Amino acid sequence: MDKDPFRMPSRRALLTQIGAGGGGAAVYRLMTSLGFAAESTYRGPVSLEGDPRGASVLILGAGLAGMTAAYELRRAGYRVQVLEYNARPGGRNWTVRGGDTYVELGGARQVCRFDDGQYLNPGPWRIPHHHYAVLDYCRRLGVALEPFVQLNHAAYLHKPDAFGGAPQRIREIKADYSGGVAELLAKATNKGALDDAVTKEDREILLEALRDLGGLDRDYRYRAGPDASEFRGYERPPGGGLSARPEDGEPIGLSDILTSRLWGSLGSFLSYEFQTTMFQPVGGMGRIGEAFGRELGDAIRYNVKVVEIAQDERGVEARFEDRETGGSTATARADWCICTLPLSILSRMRCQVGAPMREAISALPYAPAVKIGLQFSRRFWEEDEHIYGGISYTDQAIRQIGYPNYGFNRQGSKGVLLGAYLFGGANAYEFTAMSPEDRVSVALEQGAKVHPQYTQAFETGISVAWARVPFTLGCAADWTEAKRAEHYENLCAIDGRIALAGEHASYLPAWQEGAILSALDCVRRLHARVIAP
Amino acid sequence: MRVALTLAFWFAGAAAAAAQTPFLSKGWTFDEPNGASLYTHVCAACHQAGGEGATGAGAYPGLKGDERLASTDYLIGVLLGGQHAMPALGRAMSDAQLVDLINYVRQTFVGAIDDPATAERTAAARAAFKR
Repeated sequence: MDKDPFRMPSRRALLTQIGAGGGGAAVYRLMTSLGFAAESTYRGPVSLEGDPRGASVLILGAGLAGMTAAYELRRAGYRVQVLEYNARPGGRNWTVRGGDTYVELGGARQVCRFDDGQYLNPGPWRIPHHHYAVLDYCRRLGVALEPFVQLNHAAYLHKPDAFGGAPQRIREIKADYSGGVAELLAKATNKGALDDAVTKEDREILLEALRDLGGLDRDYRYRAGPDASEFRGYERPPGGGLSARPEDGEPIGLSDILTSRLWGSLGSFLSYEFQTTMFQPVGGMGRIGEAFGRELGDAIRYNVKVVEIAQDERGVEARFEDRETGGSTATARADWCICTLPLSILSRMRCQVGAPMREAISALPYAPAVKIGLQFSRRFWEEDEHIYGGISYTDQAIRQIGYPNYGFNRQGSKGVLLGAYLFGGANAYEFTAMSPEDRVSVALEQGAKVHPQYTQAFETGISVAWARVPFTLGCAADWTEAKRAEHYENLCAIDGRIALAGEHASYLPAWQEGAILSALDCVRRLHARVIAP
Repeated sequence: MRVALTLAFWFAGAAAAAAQTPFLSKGWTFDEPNGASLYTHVCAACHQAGGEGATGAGAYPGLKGDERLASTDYLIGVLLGGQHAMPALGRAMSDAQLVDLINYVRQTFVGAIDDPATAERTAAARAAFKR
């Protein structure tokens, strides 16, 4: 297995990808299969005991890794200074709101025209319930959370060449798929085909379980009727008074589901990374970075671009340009340095570290990713289609349509959809190479195949292509098992007085939890060195 | 989608307009028909349409006038092996695509026409990178 988008995907991945919902789901499944889904190792606030005797630490980058390090080291008595390229804290923890201006590499300038209260999270947008560190910092910093809906049974699975291009409700595909499979298994069981594998006693229980699992009728058949409707919903739902009697719908045949490959997206709802409950900060993911930024106050110096990092036996020195005064350079010194700059940036910078770390820094490609936010004049997905939050998957290039998980069911409310989310693969580059206007038009054209209301209700859109994001030049480090074996330890080891932290120095790449855990591990080891006699 | 975009391409006519016409491959790998198209729809994502590169907190190197590009082997190595944060994008291209892209890049940015890439060379390099 290999999640590198430029090697041939495994057979299973290929199948998933060819199947409905393709790309995104495939990538995430690959990541999961690589062991990235291990439970977070966070066990409560880090304890840094012992006197650092006024030691100073220079931290490069005010993303979640850098700010976690700064926050904890300052609490432990260190003098900390953070240098940040952007004019805001957070890094990839970022929310774009109405009035924000964003200029990407190449110079294309977008002004977000969203209404008040609407937003796009261009980077991370969901927090698994087992990302204990992110959740703990939200608690400690007072960042309010609300549920992020990963699985909405009313959302769609869509392929232009399946079911005449008509989007199918996840509820129906999911129910009819397991119903059909359960019926097959029950048939095989009853014919004695499983006698070698199942004891006589278990056989009866298995049949009962299959009926329960699949919504089979008394004769172990999956067909239109109250048992199936309990899972797949009704042609006409139960009502009140004279029109109360429900009508059962006709299930989709197993063969149709199999050949449509829409089942391929169902796995993403089951995977450990995406199991309920997931969370999002109220008001946008960027609330976490903003809260850290408030906490750290003027320990962060914004609008500076680090251009060189040097060290000797006494300390570390970073040379930086002041972006506000047009590039005048200055230096910052400290006893130690925690550098959280993405390797896409660090690998092309002069940084005085030994060969093993230098090679590790240069070894990792960065994956591209694209997100597009589209504001509509009304929430047709709620009003017309009863979709409240969650994600629809399509095998078109846009991959996903994410519905807002807040502000539900209000009279005359606008809403912003995540109109595309690509992670890796050819299309992510091709979207990046487009102008922001073209990205939005393609997202509208493809999205309209799922929601024809797009055409009437569209107001304004904005796109963020991570390979063109000036402060990262890419989305996330793209590890393979071979690269981990060769470089991971060298990347994480403290080199003289310089240590690296960030999602790239974790087994949870592209997740905020990885960035925070990496920073905590880094400050623990650094602190041990500082207080060592 | 592809049909609509292809039509748009035809109607747009001029090469300049084609540079701005979106192109979307069908699967995980690149479907672009030739070197110019690969450059415009893939490479330009980072190196920019005119090969000028881009600078933010870090930089994408400009390709224009970069003498290293005169070496066909250098380009084969970068595209199949990756370099720094640049993924090995050539692995998602056929040998014919790679050859055309390399020759396009060399000709466009450093005016090199000698020592062209060939499918034999890219295939051999591909095999070497797999080991």
